[in-house]
Amino acid sequence: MTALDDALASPSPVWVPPQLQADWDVPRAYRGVGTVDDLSTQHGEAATISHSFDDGLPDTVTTTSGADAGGVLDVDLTGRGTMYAATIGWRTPASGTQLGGQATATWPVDIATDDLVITAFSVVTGIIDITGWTAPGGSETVLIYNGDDGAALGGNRIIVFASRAAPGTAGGSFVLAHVASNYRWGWSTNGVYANQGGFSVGVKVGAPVTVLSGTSGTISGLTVPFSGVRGYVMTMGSTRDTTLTGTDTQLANVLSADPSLADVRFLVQRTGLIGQGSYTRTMTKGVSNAYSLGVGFPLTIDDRAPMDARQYFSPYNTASPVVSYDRDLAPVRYNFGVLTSAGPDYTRLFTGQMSDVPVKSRSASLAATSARRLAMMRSVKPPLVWGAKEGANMSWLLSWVWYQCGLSVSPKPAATTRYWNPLHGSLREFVAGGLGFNFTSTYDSLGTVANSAPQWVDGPFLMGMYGERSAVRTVRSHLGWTRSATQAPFTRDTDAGAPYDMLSQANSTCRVSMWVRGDPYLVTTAYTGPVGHPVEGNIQWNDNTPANVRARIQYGIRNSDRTLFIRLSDDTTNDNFWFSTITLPTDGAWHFVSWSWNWKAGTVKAKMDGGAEQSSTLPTVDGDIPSTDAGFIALGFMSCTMDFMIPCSDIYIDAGPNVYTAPYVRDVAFSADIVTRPLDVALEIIAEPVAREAWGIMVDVALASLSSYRTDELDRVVFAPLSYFGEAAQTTPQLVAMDTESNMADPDVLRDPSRIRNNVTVEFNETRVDTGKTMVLSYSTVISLPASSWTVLTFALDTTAILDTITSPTFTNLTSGQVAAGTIPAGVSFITANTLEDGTGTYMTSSQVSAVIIGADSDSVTIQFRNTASGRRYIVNNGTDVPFMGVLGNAVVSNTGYVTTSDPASIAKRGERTLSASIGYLQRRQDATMISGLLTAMLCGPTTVTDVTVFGDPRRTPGQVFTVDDAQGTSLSGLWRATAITHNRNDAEYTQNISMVGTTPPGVWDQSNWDEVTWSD
Amino acid sequence: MAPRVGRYEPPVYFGAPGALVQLPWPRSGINTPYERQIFDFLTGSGGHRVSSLIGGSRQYGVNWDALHQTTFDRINQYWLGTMGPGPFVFIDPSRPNMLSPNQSAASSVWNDTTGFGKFSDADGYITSNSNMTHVHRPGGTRSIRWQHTNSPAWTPFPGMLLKTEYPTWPGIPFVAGLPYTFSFWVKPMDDVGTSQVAAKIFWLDSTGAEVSNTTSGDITVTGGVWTRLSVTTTSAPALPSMFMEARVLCVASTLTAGMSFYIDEVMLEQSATLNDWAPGAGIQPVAMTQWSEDVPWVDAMFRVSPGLVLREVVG
Repeated sequence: MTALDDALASPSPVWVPPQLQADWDVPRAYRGVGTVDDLSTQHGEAATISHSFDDGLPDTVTTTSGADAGGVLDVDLTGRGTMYAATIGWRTPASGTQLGGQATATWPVDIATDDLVITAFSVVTGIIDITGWTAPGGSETVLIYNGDDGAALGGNRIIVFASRAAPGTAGGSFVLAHVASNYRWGWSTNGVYANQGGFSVGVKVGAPVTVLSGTSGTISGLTVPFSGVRGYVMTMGSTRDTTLTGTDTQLANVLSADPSLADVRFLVQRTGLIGQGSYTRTMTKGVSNAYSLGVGFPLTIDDRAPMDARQYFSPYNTASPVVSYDRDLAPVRYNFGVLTSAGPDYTRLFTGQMSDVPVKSRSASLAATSARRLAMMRSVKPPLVWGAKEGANMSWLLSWVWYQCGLSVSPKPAATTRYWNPLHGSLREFVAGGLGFNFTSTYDSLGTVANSAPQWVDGPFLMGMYGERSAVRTVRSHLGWTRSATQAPFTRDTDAGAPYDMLSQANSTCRVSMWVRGDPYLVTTAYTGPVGHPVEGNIQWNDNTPANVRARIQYGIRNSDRTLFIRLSDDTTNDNFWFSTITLPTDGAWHFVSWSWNWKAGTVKAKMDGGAEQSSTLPTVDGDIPSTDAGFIALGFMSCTMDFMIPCSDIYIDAGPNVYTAPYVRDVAFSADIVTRPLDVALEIIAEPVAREAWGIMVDVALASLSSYRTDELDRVVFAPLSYFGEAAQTTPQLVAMDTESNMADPDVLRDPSRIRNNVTVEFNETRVDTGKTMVLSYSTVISLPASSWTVLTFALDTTAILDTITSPTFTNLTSGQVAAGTIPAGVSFITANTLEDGTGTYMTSSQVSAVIIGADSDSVTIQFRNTASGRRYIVNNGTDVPFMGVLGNAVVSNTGYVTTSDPASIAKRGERTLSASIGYLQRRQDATMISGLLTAMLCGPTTVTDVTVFGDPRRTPGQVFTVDDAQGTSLSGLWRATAITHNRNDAEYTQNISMVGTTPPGVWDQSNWDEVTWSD
Repeated sequence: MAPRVGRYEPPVYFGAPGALVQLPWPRSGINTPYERQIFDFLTGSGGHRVSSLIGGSRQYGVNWDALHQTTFDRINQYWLGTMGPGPFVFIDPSRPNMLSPNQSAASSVWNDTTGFGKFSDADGYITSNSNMTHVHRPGGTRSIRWQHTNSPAWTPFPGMLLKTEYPTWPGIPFVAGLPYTFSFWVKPMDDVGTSQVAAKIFWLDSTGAEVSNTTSGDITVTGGVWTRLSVTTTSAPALPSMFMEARVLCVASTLTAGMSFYIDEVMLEQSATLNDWAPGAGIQPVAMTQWSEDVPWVDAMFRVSPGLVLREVVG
């Protein structure tokens, strides 16, 4: 039991004021407690927060009609009187010394977020360039003084910065860039710097005055509309005398050097802790050079004229500090407060984005909704994915859609990531970075299927790709990529932020990371099949002789002892393996593994989970790699392959000079934006003809998988298939029961017969992709190509199809004889190019007129034509049976299919009640049959739903299961799952309206009856 | 200590801090409920659960039998807006403890140190103690624990202060010339010897800057023994002093690293004598919400049954 548990179990709890933050887009110097982004003190009487699942069912049978899966907040706002005080005092000063070079000052180790930090540099000689500086954590910084420290102090230069400390900046380094090496920094006590003592930074706090008057003022470069803002005048100064005491006189020296700085002012909350006077902190004396001092203290702004709600939040009142801020962008958080024995305890009820701050009469309110819901309003167009070849589980589609909206189920790629393949149900990568694998295959020894579809398992984050080598079966998946001068150009996907080569003089430092499952691996089996290592990758360059490997990096997990290894090789004199002692356990658990190398340095290292090992140097020859990756390909071809015979997931390939020492993706803090589980439904093909709203795609997938969805209290997207609700965490009552004896008002109970459907027909798009290639575009309209030109045209395909845009992108030019005979070569795309517009001229060869596919989706192809001739040429012919152009592809055949299931017992009792559901994302009959059957099972009887009002408990969330009891009234009892919760707070009142559906306890295999429990996977 | 002595028809005070006007004791009494928001939830079986907000607000209903027009206008000038928009302050000297509920009850309301502060980061750690062996108030559940670790190094006189709840005020408004007493019980932890602690009242100007202070002197307190410290003083002249603030200071040279003080039953009262502890509800700014004016038929220079209603407001 926690203190919060105890407090909420009390029949007379005490609520403390809630926390309401709205992160207006303002500089840090103007944020924090008591500033415009903390609206806690402006919380009015009432707040309403709603969270609900949409169960994804058709409208006629949904139990969550009216649900807003996006979550909404509506809270009354009052005006503003004044600011809250904050503690003001000194942090622990830090100081340091340095001679020449780039200067670095260390911040105090106890700096807290939003502290004002003063960083001072003193320069003995030279003229410095301070055009660039970097504050820890990107803390917003202003240069408040750069000049002479006054004749009385020797006329040396002092540079002082004021920063608003960003989170996590304690002990950080403030770097002053652009400092030449011959500059000397610091105060000295000897040599030519004799008579110079310690160095102090002082802050003089003057009388409170009106520092911003009229309608606007400037704080840290931000022009803010204000009226009568008061604050303390704070002035900066330094001293280097031997007494190390900052005095007003010494402070005045700075001011006299630059009188305009008399107006340097910080707005400081009035408090009894600090008053008028001079406050100094002094560096340690006795070192030869001392150049920097970092001190800091909390800072908030002073009081101002009070405003009521209409004045403060009016978009027309220029005296309001928030008048100019957008009212639909600021992040918003709402925490409900409960008094516990450990003090106030806050529970997050809402995270999202402001949607409006309407002013009505004399009051105002803040409305907010899910930021993730808004992010998913983005229009996205998934890539063309062939399910039978690459896999197209609906989980992959969702994962890809979420990533396009900035959300991620698994750790996001770094700026150096050139390739990221989460393997969440498809081999198709999320980030190609010029490395999109252009051939994939899966070998499954069962039935000796050489090119089966990849298989999927539950992964460390969502899904993983299956692999196996056992006494009875081998499943090996192969990813391959190759580029040569004759193929599509090798380009880096700069949009993915991958500016570095992989294996060249420009960069030869890379890292491959992934998660693998510790499955057993049998080296020797009784049958033939692929051999190799459980995990094996190759990146290599061949020159024009394919067998001649010039440079090769091989990495993987060795089959004999499961150790991680790397090989750097030129296949001749320098061919060296390094085997680490890191061994993949055979425990069936997921492990993070990573290999890093630097070819030029000859260094390699490996990592698994928390441990890492590095080799001694492996000899390599720089000359074995060319100047650039592009040069590589011009001289031969470059290839990259990966083979897996154990399950793997989330592959990252990073390139760049810093990736060898960069933090591993496993070790970078990650918090998933999504809560979901693998889906059991797959697609034959993902082929969206046009871009669609991402949320709409998710809604359609929910219907096709009978999943529920919402954004939760932390603004994560929860996408929950039926199996999710069968998990122990979702079937075990977590909180106290809802009981009319103790905390529940009389319930509204409904055993709803109106949703009964015992005969369900699912209409779906029964789809197949022909494995044999056919002509998917037969084009017989003349195309005119200007002389010596490149022409790019896009054509709609005659039928939805998959085109091979990488290995077969080029067109064959038909000859006059082929045209006359009506003979079209098998297995090629072709053009007929002619000198005359009617096709009666001379037919062109591919050296004269050529065509190449440069882009395609399921319904169109983009072709680049090149006419090298000096005259206009035409795509045309004078034959009778030959199109002018033909494009070969794998046709996608889609027909409307129907599956009907029914429940005879229900029909016998109530007669036939039919539901016709059109589910566009179902493409396979077995999936449609499964969904139809599930719908029938769910709907053949009356739906039990209930709405209750309960005494509030901020820990309740939709999806939780509660024990409900109304022994004295309706006799309602049993387990119920909340589908929607509305929190109503009004002064001391805190109640919740909860909509619930009946549920059953979790099933136990071999013990439970099928229809009496809830099952998970 | 004796029970509080009677106060017969004491004047009350109204206006802005530092500029209070004296008003005669309202002969028809003052209605001063400290109102807390309460919600009574009725369960389906007829049971109840009651929730409340942690804070509250006092409404003052001040009723005179009659006021001469001169006195009436002292109040009327605020109602008419001629003294600015407010908020103002109403001081009823009969209020036994001017500190907030959490301050007076040594953290028993919030279960944390809301309302308590330190002079500097070097002045130790202030927490809410729930070990009832270190609580002085009979039946009390909490006291303040003030621990001194000497890291960072102590200031010569580590100080704890009792901050006002209303952020615009640097302290609590006071009536010039009246006596005030600040008191608290303090116990050093059991296994230390003696230490020295002082009770102080600081007089502050409008900005919060110290004008002067009055101290009890450094009183020696013994480990494991509860001692009541107090300081009684007549307040400073009205200007430049406008506010007062109660503070507890100890003498660093008498501290042992790691030792704690427990403090309980904190009280700041307008009184010349040290009285028994009473809970406080704080001194909050008020806004005028009602003011009546009835002219009698006999003498138009009087107003009969004038009623003033004030509501404490938040910052």
